[in-house]
Amino acid sequence: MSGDRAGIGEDMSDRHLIGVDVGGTHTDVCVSCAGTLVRGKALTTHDDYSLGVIGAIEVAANELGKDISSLLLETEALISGTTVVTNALTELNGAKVGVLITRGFKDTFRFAGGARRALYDDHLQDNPPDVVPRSFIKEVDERIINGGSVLVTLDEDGLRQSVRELHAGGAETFAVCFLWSFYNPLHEKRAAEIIQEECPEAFVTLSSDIYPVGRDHERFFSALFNSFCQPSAVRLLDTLAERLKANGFAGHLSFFSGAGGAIPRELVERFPLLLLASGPAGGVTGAITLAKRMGLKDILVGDMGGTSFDTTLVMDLQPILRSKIDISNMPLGLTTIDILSIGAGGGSLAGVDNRGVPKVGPQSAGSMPGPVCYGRGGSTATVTDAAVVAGYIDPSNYLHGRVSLDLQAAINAVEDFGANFGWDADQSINAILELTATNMADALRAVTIERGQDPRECTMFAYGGTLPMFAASICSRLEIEHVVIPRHSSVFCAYGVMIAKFLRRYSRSVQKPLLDSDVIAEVARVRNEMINQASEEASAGGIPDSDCNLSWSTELKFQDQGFEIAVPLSDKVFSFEDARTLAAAFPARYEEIYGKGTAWEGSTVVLVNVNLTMEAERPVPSINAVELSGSNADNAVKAQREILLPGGNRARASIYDGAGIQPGAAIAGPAIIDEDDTTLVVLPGWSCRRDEFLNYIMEKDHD
Amino acid sequence: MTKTHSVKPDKQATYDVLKAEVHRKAMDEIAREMGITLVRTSGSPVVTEAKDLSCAVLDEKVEQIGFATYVGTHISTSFLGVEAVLRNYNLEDLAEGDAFVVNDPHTSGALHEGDVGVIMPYFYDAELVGWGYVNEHSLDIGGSGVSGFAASARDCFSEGLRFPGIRFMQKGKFNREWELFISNNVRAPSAVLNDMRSMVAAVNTGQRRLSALINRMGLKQHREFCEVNKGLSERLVRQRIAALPDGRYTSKDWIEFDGLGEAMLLELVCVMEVAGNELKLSFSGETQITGPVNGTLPVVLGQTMNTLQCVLLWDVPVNHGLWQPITIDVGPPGTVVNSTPPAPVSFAHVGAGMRIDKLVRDVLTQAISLSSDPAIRERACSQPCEGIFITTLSGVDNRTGHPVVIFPVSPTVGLGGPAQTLGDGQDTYSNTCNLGIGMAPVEVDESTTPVLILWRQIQASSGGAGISRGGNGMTTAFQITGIREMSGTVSNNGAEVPPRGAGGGWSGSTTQYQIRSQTKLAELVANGKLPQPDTLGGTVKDLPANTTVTVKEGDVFFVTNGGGGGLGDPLLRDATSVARDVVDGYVHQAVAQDVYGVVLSEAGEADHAATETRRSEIRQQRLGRAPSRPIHTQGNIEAGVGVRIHKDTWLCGYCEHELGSVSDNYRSSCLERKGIASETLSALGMYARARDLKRLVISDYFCPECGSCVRSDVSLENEIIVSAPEVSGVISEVH
Repeated sequence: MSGDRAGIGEDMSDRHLIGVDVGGTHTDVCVSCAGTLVRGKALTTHDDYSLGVIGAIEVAANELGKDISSLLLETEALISGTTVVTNALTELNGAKVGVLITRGFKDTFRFAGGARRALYDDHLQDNPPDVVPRSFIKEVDERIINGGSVLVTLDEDGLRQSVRELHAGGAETFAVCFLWSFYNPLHEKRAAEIIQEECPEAFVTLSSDIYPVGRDHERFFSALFNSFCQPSAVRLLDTLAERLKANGFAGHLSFFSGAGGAIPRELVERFPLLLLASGPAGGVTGAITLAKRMGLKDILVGDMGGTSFDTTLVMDLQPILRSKIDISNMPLGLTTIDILSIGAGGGSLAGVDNRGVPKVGPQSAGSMPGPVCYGRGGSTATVTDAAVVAGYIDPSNYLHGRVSLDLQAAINAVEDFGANFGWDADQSINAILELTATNMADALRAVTIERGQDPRECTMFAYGGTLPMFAASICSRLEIEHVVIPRHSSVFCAYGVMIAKFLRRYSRSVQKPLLDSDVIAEVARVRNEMINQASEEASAGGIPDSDCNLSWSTELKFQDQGFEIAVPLSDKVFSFEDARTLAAAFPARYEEIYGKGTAWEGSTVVLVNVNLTMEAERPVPSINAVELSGSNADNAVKAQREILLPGGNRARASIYDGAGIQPGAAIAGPAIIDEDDTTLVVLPGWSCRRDEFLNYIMEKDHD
Repeated sequence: MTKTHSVKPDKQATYDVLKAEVHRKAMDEIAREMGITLVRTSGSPVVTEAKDLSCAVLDEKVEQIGFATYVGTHISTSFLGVEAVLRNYNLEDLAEGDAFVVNDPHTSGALHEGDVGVIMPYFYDAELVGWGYVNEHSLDIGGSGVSGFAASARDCFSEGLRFPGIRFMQKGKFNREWELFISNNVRAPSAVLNDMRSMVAAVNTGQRRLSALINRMGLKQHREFCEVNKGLSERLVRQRIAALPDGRYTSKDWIEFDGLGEAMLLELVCVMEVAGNELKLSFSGETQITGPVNGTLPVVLGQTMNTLQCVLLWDVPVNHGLWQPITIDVGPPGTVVNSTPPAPVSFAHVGAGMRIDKLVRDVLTQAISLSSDPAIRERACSQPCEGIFITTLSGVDNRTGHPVVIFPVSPTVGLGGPAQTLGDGQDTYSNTCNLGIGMAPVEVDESTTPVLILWRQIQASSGGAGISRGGNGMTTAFQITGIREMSGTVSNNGAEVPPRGAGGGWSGSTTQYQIRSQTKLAELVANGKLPQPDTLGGTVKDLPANTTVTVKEGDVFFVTNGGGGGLGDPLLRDATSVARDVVDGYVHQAVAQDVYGVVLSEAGEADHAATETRRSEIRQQRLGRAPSRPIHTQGNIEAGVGVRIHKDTWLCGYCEHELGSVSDNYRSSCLERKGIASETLSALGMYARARDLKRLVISDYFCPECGSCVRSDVSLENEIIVSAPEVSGVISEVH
């Protein structure tokens, strides 16, 4: 399937698809059913995540007038994004891993996170936490050198002895971390065999399997963390599969990776680390699909919930990927969508910084006690409290009336904050809202300008429970004039997860001058390796080779440079002629990015990595377009209210009930649109209309 | 948990508090974006990987209003650079599109000649509104050393090209004469010229963003907010200073340099005077020498401020307000602190600079530990290891016949960090003038340089003992492979003077390196073994710490970095932590027994009863009799507070026994144990290189009643007593 208008007008089977996003606070589901979408939300259940998933599916089933087992019985596929691996890693709550490492390098985990951990503050200049105690890291005599030849043969007896000691000491899983193993995995593979002989049940990760790239810090941490998070990931896999089955599910269960695609369960069992950062990636996948349907190419994606604001740039419908990710300063080699996260959410706390000036975040009130207006014991003003007092949120109709809010408590908290500066309530609210918007605008600047992209040329996709309130205010600062607020804004990540393709990314190091005589053979070798791995993983997940679509790229740089540039590679056999063409074209490609006169004329071009992306289509739901009928939305106005505008003045605004706004209808700011789980603020000088898929499009007016 | 120390908001503010804060964030964003432009356009790994760069925006008064860096010591370089330009040109001769180059440490602000800076005036509606400044460590700058490290230079004229702030660009066009001149005098001409162009691109970014900001806010308001934000930073700095007791605090340290034949120890003295909310730091030193370790104004200002930031001003936004309450006196010209031409200075930031960091930490911690504010006392710290091993070598690749230059930076970052009140010092830390440099993975180093890395391990017990332990350093070894012969510079600036502990914490090890030939590597490998520090074998070349060398293929560099000092008497360290350190191999068992007094059970856990006994024994050994006074219960002990003051009397920080009048030195009331530094450390399995003349001693001072160590000094053998704080202000209460 291809084309710009994906999904529209396709034959729709009555089999359902379910997307799940297990987040820190809420578990969201999105269910497609006969051309419509319904959503479900439940609290995340941290001791057994599957309970929350079932709970959320029940809510959606209710919405459809079905019971959960008939819904699940008719479900063809369920795909789940989950925070379980992210949590295990950020909380450092995982398995006791026995690590086997090349002799001389057992302290790699201590210093790989960087010698300086903070620019100034001495108190942040501390030791990284021990993922495993140093005594669980055993050095082994073996050494492979650059180029892959063996300098010292693996000491099998010594290794076996170490495995026994680790096992006796309580190691639950193992990681094998040998230098240059990405070049020659011989020793790591033999180590795996010996571990299996000694501890047949034990889970083992080889660094050469999980991240076959020439950076030992990232590769070793990847192996360690994969074995570290494995038990919690398997627990989720097992309980979820069981509980779904018990409720009638007989379809295909798969998971959603931080790289932004679905992966089969079998792959997760081997590489649970692929689930890292899976949550926010779902929204990006959803936004790309939506943008494609709308004919947009360059978009900015923003998701603001209770604690954080996540943002990334999508150029030419391609997400920006990063090949490394840091967990508490520990570097992992893992390809994920490059999402910037800052502490700005509905629960962010307002306060006074050390210089006596106002600040908002990054600390958050979380879900307990939450904002003051929740009445659960919070006493410090949050962004949500400011939004309530600003008149954006109707305290009597929050989350469709499910949570009643204490307006007076919010006013008191906001005034307490303002009293530090001699401000009245409106000045205080304005300060909270302005600083929040400034922080988010700075983050948007970092993901656009830092990558050489002008934000004004992008359309902003704003979703999550809180962002539609701030979208216009943030975009005004960056002179962005077009904003899309997707129809299922509050469960948009689950929607993105539901429609994801199978996707897997592989990378191999080559690190040789492009015109070296052995590059051709080396490229052929790593390509074969990756094709074999892709084919093996696809068939393990029940995906036929014929459904897999492979695309190749390579990364080039001038010798000794720090940054490489990706260049597409054809799927034909790589020839010396191709190498010459690439080398000749590279200076021009480089100057396209960095400007005239910047290429290192006469310098050697190095082929750094070869990358493969494997994609396979999954069934995609079609969503029926609705006829554009409305022209105005006057009949959806349910009230008039004073709201506080940026700058601190109040103005009367119409309050619309989102359910009553017809596609095609346009609304002029200032206005508030109440949706089930979110609130849109349309500022003066902006207008908002609904499209044929019930998304909101907010645009800056031109005089 | 870090405690906070803050000022109250100003309710009577006549300006818009909110807009002023937004303006401050915008100024930092502008400087940050300049840095982003530089990193993205530069081809130099010194910029892209090591991030040796900084960017600043200054107003028309030549005062900093925005700053972004990876190397904090650069904080002084921008305004000194602009001041140099203004000495050379009349204001009315400046125009848009002018760019100036600075790199002369003696006249124009650079830390060393390798740091090249570009300066451009910023205009708005044809009115001068400020200055943009960017600098980076250039790949080369000519002269006798690669990349500006000229170890053999005996004057600044042979260190490289020196630009005192001269115009190289007008109307955005590189002056052809300068282009030809520079490219004719440096080793990598196109890289150096491209670096200058990318710095211009970065400064241009600042101009564009500043103009946009002024468009939005108006020039008047922009200027108002610049002043407001300087004032806010200044206010917090003053409050932090006011929390230190008024008085005079002194520390000494020594630059080690043996490159001129004699093993010199060049004394530096720092006196810090606190008076109300003002601080004065006065430095003095011996006569400047003809080796490249002399200090300069930019190094002393930059390193002093940077250390103040790390310890006391950790959260103050950087702008001119930081400098207002602080006077830094570099003393008369012609010394190793404040050298003048022709003094060579290409290692100034390492030689004098890293000593400044140690001195400032010492005087600050003396004052901090006497503060009545617990949030300030919490910032007490020891000295980090400030001995780094630098080598730059060149040779010819056996296979390709191409020349190869190497500068292995990984050994320079695995130092022991300063112990903190909140926890142990960082193992494998990087000192503050080396900020952005991370440790490259082994596979990256082995694929980009002709070396085989034999190990990288934490050197157990190299950190000084204390309630908080000093960070351990890294030991590493690498063999030269694939190149028959290489020659170049080797330098170790911290082999002899151990970093001090504080509050009774002990000294850490110093840094050492060896070059070994005819090692047992081949033999070991043939037997299926990898070498370890104790099995490598071979013959050690007899070399001074700072010299030029020629090495052969197969020779091994063996570097062991020193540790940080400890904080607080080691007898009071939590026994469980000591046991864990022993089991993990961070501390030797003998040190646990004899220094920490902790006895481990068979299972590797702390035997608390046996530990108690052992600790009493050690106190008895210290005093020559049983202690007559118990220490506080654990809860009242603060790592970093070895002595306190009550009214006019010194008290032991551990038992509150009186240690004499504050007008006297508390050390006179203590029992002293003195030993030659190299011998004392060696007895503990630690290291400091021995000296023949001007020997260094470690003196521990014990409270005569409880036997706790209240201070451990490093001084010259002939120094009778190290001076104590001369506190003149009233300390409000005993804490």
